[in-house]
Amino acid sequence: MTGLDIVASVLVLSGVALTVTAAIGLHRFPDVFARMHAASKPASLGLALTLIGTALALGGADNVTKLLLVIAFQLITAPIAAHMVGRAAYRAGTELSSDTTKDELADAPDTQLDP
Amino acid sequence: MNIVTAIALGAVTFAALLALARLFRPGSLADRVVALDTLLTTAVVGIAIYSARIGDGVYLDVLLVTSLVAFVGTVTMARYIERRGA
Amino acid sequence: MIRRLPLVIWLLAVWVGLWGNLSAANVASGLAVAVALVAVFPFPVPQTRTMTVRPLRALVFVMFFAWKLVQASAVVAWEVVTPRNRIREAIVAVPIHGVSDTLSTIVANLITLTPGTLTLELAHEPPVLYVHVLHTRSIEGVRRDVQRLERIVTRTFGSAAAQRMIEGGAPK
Repeated sequence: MTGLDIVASVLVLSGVALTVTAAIGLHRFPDVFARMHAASKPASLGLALTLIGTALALGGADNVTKLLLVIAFQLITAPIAAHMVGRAAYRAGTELSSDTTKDELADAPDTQLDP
Repeated sequence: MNIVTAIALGAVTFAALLALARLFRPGSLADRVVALDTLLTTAVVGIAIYSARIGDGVYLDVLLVTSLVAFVGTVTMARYIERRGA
Repeated sequence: MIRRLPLVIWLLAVWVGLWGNLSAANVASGLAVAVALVAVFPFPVPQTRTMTVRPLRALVFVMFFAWKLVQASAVVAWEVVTPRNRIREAIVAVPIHGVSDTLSTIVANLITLTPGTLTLELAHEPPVLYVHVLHTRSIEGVRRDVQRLERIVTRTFGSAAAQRMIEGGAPK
């Protein structure tokens, strides 16, 4: 295995490990909002690492460009998607887990928020 | 490299099965939306590893389309949840 | 139309990137598609009054962003792997300056990628950011961190007018 292959392998394996972490987190966390933390952060980083590893393994300018585009797109949109689902779940009245210490959003006057 | 991609594909399959199990577990609609988004992201990772394994960039366009569809689908479901309740 | 030029260039870059090679046909067709899209769909016009381009600071910001993402994933991975449950959730209201929509959006996105925080709501009058926290050590600490992030984003991307607006602390 060449040096490039070793770097690519390390990246791919760490990316996959993070993706598995995200999937396990979906089961372990007690609350919808906590699960959203698990689904957005390690999944995005895992995707980025794996795709960089794949770009190194494949080579070729067109492959690398496409993979970089996917990474950029995922990093920009994953937080937005997580935020929107979180906001919707809160407004729909999803129960917070029993570990929650403080909920300051409940005190917010209704005129402040966007429709 | 082939051994690495084989291990990676096995792990990705495990992650995908976990996400799929979360989809079926009783919970709110928001839970299922998050599970579906994670499942699609895991699928993108799996396709990328497979592309690295076969050494051909044929399936890379699939990655972008899947990411786009996952994002649009998740946001649409979020708006539905806001209106109709989880 | 001329204010949408950066958007047209970005669309063209994505088009050419997807086709893979930089040929005259690709660039021409990309330009046609980009101009047609921008003309037909009402994209929001970028607020140039409050934003400036600073390439060097933007590069530093990207590296900061990447480092925060790595930290965030590590925190979540640690929580998943260790058996003891250390999750203490809370939703914290953080008063921010709210200089412009674009800057607030960048701050909200950055907060979601920071370890342990997730943006839930962005209120406008007065500008308050509601953040869901995973491991709460202190509520004031969370407020300080979020306000620090807003200062970093405004210093990186904000124009001089924006920076003058964020002098001093936030009310409430």
